[in-house]
Amino acid sequence: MTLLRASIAILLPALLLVVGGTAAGAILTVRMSLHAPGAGAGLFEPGSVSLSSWASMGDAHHRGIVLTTILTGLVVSLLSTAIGALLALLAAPFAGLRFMGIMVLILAPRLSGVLASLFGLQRLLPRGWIGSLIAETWLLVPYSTLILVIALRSIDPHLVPAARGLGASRWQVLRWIIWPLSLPAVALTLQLGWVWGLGAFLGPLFLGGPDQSTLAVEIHHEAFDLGRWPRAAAEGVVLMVLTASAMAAGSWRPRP
Amino acid sequence: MTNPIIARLSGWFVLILLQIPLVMTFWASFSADSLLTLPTTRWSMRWYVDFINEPQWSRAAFRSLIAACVAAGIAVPLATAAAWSLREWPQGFRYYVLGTLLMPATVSGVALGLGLLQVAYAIGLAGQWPCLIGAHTLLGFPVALLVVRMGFTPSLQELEAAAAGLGAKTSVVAWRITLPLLWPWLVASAVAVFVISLNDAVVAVFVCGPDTETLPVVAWRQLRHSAGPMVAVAGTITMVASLGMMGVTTAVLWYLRFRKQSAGGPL
Repeated sequence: MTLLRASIAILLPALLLVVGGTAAGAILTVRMSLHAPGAGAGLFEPGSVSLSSWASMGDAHHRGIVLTTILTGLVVSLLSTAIGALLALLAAPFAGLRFMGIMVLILAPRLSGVLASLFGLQRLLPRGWIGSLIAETWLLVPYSTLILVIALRSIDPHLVPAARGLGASRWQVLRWIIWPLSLPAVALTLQLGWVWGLGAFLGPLFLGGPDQSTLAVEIHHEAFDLGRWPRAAAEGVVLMVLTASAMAAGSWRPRP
Repeated sequence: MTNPIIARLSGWFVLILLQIPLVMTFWASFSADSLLTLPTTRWSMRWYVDFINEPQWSRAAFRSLIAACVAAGIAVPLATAAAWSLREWPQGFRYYVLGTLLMPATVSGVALGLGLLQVAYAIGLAGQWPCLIGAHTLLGFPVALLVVRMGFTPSLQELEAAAAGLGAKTSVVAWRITLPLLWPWLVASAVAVFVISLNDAVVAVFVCGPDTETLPVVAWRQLRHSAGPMVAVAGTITMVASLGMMGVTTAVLWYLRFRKQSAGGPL
């Protein structure tokens, strides 16, 4: 019992950080969305209660943005899972330093060069749907690959030589051994890709036009360019609800 | 694993494609003129000299370095304590606690930044150092936790149980068994937090004040209007710092493990 109590005690700082940062932030965002916009220096008018930020949330402009967000999330999820699968298949068979080297190359765009990637992508891709979607996929592929590589490497290594020895072609191994065994990981990658893709920000911001504006871009625009923080907060709430429902939808499994 | 040749070839192709923007930025940062044409014959370090001489950039780089080090210094102990604690929880509860602790990784950076900014306002720290450090600690924590958890292998648990069975107190087990076997994972998770903090632009844009602007935030402002050569320099410096950090750590850990194995080591 003392051990459990001790383990609760040492968990507290981390829990405080996470709950204090994430949950309190979410609650304050909801609260800010219900304030009137600030007239002067503040983010909002203190003590005010107003639904004005929510009133415009159902108009055609915002419906379009929500639709773009969902669409971007879906496309980015599909693309990053497909590309991640190719890279994971490439990296998984290697061992030791070679594996490390390939993984560093795969993770480099995200873990070492977000700025450098965006700078280079801005020069390589046209602005618009193509630029926005490819740039966002670019930033997600490392994560998708990581999940899939872990799954591929946990497959029993004896299965493949066994199947090959029994006369299966490489495609048959891929189709009947690797694919079914990595299916749960593929589902997880699609789900997380969708959750992360809903929050698409850097791609649409730096490589998209007004038509590719997602909720995250709009939040940033309302807050920093227009100073309408309560409206940004209302859009933030919509984004959080979308993300949470994507998480919930993906976690649902038919009962066996 | 033997993959079909087409799958392997397209994998290599994609891997090379992934590097092109990075290579372009690296290349452009050595351009001699300000139009950012890729240098073919005229290479120049002038933008790097400007970078060091302009306080706006060099200070931001220094701030980024400090923030990344401090965030790693805080996130890793927190993650270690949390990972240690998670083992003691009953199975059913454990997943809820873990899910809660991983929450920051699922929230979109913009939503996270928007929330953190208000938390900072609520406690009166908006735009100050503790706010930036806290934000980056939070951002790196889920990854640090996942990495440290990988270190709690079944064999580690068996050794701990053996030591406890021989009469060692919990603190002695933690100090003499758990930490020595866990430290490569602690180093790896510190590097992960460092790199995440160094590369974060999204959350930082929300929580940084004029005195705490990190390198990605300064580069961000330029990237939105007209990306000057300094952005390429900033991108290259961040990239080299992150890759160097990862490379050195991997090499050191590899060397230590290899040496231990060849020496026959205690384990």
